[in-house]
Amino acid sequence: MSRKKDRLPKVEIIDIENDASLDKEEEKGTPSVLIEFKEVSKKYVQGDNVFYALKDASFSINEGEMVVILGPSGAGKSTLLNLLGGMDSASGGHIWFDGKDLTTFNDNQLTSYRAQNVGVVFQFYNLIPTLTAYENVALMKDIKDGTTDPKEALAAVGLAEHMHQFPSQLSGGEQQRTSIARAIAKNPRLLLCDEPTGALDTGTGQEVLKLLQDMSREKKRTVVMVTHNSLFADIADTVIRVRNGGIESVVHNDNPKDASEVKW
Amino acid sequence: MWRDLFKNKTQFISIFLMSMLGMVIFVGIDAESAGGAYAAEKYYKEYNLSDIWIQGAGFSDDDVRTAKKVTGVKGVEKRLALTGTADVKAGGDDAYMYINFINEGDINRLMLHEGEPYREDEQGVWLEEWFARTNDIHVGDNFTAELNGIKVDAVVKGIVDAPDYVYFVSEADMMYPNYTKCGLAFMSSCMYPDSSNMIYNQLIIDVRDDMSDDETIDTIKGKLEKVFDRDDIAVTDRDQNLSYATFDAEVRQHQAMGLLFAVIFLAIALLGIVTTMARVTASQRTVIGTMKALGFSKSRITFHYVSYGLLISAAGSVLGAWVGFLTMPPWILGMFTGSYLIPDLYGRITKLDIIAIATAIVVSGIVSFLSCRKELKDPPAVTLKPPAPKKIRHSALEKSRLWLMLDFSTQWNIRDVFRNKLRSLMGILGVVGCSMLLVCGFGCFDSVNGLVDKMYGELMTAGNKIVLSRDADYGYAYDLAVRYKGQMVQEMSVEFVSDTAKKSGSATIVDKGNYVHIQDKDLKPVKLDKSGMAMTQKMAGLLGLKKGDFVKWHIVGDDKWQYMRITQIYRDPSVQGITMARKVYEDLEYDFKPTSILTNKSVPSGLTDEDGVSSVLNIESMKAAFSETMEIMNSMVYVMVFGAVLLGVVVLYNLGVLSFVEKTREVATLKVLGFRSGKIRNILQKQNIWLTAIGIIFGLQGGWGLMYVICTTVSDTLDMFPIIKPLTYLFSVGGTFLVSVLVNFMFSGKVKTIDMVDALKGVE
Repeated sequence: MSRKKDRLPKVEIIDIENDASLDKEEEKGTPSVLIEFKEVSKKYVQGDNVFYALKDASFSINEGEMVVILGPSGAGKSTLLNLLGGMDSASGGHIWFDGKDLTTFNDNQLTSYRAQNVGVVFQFYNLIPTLTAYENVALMKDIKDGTTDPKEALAAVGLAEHMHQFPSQLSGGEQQRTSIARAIAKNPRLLLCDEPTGALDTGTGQEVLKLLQDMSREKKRTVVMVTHNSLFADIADTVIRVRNGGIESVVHNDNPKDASEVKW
Repeated sequence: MWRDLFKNKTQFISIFLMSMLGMVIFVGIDAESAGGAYAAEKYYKEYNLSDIWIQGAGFSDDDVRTAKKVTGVKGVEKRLALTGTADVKAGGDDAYMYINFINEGDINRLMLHEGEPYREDEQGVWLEEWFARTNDIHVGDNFTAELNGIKVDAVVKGIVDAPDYVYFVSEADMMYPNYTKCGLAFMSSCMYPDSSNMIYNQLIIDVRDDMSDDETIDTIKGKLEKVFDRDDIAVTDRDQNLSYATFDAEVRQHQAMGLLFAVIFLAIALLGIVTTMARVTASQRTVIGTMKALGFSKSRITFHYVSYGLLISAAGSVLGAWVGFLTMPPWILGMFTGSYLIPDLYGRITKLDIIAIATAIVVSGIVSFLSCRKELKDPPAVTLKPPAPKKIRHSALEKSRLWLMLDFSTQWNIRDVFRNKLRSLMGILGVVGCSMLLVCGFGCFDSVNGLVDKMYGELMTAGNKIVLSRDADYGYAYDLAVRYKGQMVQEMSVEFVSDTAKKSGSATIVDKGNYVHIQDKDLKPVKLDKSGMAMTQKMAGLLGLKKGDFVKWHIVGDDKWQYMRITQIYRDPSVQGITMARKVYEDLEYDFKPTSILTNKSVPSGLTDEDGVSSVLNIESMKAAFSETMEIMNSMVYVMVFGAVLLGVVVLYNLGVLSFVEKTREVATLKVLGFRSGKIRNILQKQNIWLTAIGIIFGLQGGWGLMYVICTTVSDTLDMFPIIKPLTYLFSVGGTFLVSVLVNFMFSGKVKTIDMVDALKGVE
């Protein structure tokens, strides 16, 4: 167990939340590339059958962007997300994250890549049921230095009052928000979301969506969301469409809608 | 269905193994003791073992008639039971002989192995089989026995065994029968050298079958005492008969000991089945929901799952019972051969075994039924979803400040333990069982070793023991004692009678010297009362006597009875009876006739060539010989230790699988969040170590208790002091931890292989 108790001083937390230097992507034309996929493939071999979950996918994602990966089920979007998150390894091609090639990483390097840079929001929240919301978020202290105080993180998603409840005592939306708080407490450069609204009703889903959009817009985090709901394309800066294991299109959205305007 | 079985193969294999293991031990031990008891019972019935013995000096035909008139008495025979010697091939020294001159021979009928059956008017001798075989005596050979200096010659007519002599020991052997040097012979009373002056010293009485229950026997005994109204007779029943009682005690001891282990085993196995079955059905929740949604009827689904539980545990139990029945009885009963002369010792399945098998099957059936019902209760729509998480409350601990100081893994483990109480309890119990049996098993070794060290080192401090032959006279013994600065000792078999019991034991008469010591009830050395008689605590307990009480006793083969006060109580691990000084013995008008000389001087091996010396034993060979007699007990210990480890592994492995399967999702999540595999492993191992530690704490106590019960009930002749060395505790703790940690390590190794991608997917 990491026994490190040092946290960021309060001042700095406020800095992160309002850091003007991170606003550089607002100035269009000079976005810095955070992630680049180059001819990435993922194949599964079963006996004589070779199945490509992903074939020769190439695209890039800029820092601070809100990206939606769209596609029907089985198209390869989950594979994309797994590769992005360092949870799975590619069969071919290169994945650069901030100039480093993830495909050359070993298990340990991938683990620390996840620990340091990636926050994940799952469709079914995946909170540890035996830990309270607070403890679920506080977990992050064990894997990374300089995490946000769990209270702050929970307050940021509007859950300050339910901090000491167990996941089973929270509603689906609240659980998902806890999961987001857990992800952002790490201050990850990349926030990955797998159908984050999949298990939620429209109203709650919208709140979650809004929260994620804010992460990108206000806190300048790179948010990548996987969904099969094409309506979400409207709120993204970039929409990557996936079909049959290949990239169908990458579209930049000049005027993304506000999450609260999306209805489904 | 077979596919389902395959998918959950680890759990099902462990249910199978647990029910099998439980049954192997249960049925094995039960069938063994039941088989022993049954064989003895059959033998006694078929060969008409006497129900009552009357011993005394001089019984006439009138006495036989008197006894016959008593209600319930079916038959009475008189006989003359003597002890003598015979010159046989084995050993070189004379063999000790029990010689019975009998008449009709209908009561305690001889079982014929070879030759002609016994006839009253037949000239000849019938010899016990084991003795005849090991001394290479055959039908038609000449056999000479010596009775108080008179030689009796006879042709061997038959090789036999007798129901009243399934166990007998010579004076020299004391405890462990040596049928090579101690024989049994039967002759018709017409063979007695001086038949006109023959004085019968025993009446053997057969009671009607419908009146042979304990109470009626007691009544008949009372009536017999009344009709004879003599002080010099002793009326005894089977429970007071050395042969009958010794074997009966042996069987009972196995039953008690076996049942103790068997129940512990079975209980743990059953608990394991219960936990596993409940978990398996719970894990099949969505499948059950799907089946229901597809329109399968409740009863059909229930049948499907209940049949798992039934099938697996039935297969395991029956196979276990079969294996147990085939292996354990021949093995343990095989060790009886040479100790107990009972024919047809085979294992035997009892009602209890059937009940145990049925219980195991029914319990797993019920458990699968109940857990299946639980899943079926909800409509399919609900069942299809993942189970609603259990309600968690904050415990008192969590409200305290201390909680906040604990790190995440501790908090998580504490909650996990409390959330899965049954599983945790099961884990603790598995560890308790394992460590308990280990402590007990190793403790038995300690105690036996302690016993040996006490006997040869504390109570007997001489380095050598010169065993004298039966014909060595006092003068020779005295010369030897002077030559080797030794202490003369006389040991012999005696019989004790109290109001409540008749027991066989030994008397030790000690001359001046410093090699024989006694210890009081707290095992502190004390001086032998020079003017009184000391009795061992165990013998006093068996006879229901205490210090200051009187006891009736006589030397085996001597009709003279003594009535003496017990002036001192002492403890001896292996020889139960009395000890007194030579002077006290001689005051009773007996001749002191040493049987051995104890000395610390080195004795030349050539000494055994002298006629008066039978053998020279050094302390190491005595230790080794005694340890050998503990073989049966040691075998039980092996079974126990082996069983403990096996049980521990199976139970803990099974639990490991269960908890691991349940935590897969959480573990995968932690991995995605960036926890290293090693760290997750440590988290999982932490809980396991806690539970193991708790289990061990209870297990050590339980082991001591079990050990204590075994030591105090083990036998009539052994007064065991339960000893558990610190090292034994250390071994048991270490052993249990090793089993537990290794088993857990096997699973935590799987942390690495868990596919994180699965954690992202929904619940399957």
